[in-house]
Amino acid sequence: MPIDANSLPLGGGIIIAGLLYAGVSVLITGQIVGERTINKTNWEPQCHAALKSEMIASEAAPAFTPKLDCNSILGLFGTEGKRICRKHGNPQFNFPLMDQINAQKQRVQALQQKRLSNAASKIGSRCGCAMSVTLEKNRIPWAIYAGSIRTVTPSNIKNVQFELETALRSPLCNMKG
Amino acid sequence: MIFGSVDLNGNAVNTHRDSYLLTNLSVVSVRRPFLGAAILLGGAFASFSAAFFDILYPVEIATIIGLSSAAIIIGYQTGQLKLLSRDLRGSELSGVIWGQYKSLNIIRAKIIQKISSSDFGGAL
Repeated sequence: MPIDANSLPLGGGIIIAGLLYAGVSVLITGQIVGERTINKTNWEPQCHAALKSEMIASEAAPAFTPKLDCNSILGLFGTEGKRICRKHGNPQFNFPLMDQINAQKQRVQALQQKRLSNAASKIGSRCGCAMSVTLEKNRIPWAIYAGSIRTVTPSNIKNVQFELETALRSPLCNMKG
Repeated sequence: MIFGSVDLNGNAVNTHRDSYLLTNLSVVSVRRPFLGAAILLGGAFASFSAAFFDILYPVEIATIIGLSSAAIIIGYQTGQLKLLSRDLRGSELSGVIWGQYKSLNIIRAKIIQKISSSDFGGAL
């Protein structure tokens, strides 16, 4: 059925103004309000700290290499063994494979350090990604929140922390360093 | 202030585009067509800046309040004078003149005064 604009209780100008306000809320004000509301909750520094501690916790402990000096080996024989070691200045025993084991250990540590610093540099972009995804995914709820001048708060906006966490763990933002 | 021109000349109203014989004019009306929209938009954005003052920068609040006030003032001041004739109803020649509401209202009163005086035997 065609709509006769003249029979509507509201003028065409008011309807256009309403649509314009809704459009501005969806495209501009909703996104600004969303971004600043998230920033106000201090989520980004918290995200950085949480990811950093997660990253450190997930790192494997360095491989244990026993100390091979005189006391470690001859100390097993009590005071007599220790006496011999003291006499000779507790020398280190250089087994044939020890140099290679130490070199490998240093290489592994260097690689681990590089990987850690690489992953740390990506923490910022992961937190930023989670924020962008949350804003984009909830464009309409943010527009309702901004357009209704805080009188209506959709559930996604009430639980924005959960939305951010979900976005952070989503495959889109979950790049491994 | 009027966009274009309107002159009362003898028994005719001459606009910048058309001339109308006073005897053929049935309705002369002045409206504020943008006032409703301006109040809606101005009020909504002013309320927005008040509700979110804690996350907006002072310059943004000042800009929004300034633009909202300007919109309401423009909507209040802008008027539209319509010259309707029984013969031309719905046609493109139904005259519309834009300008300041107050100035258009003065012209409307003059036109009606002229038509009334001619209806009651006054010379056109």
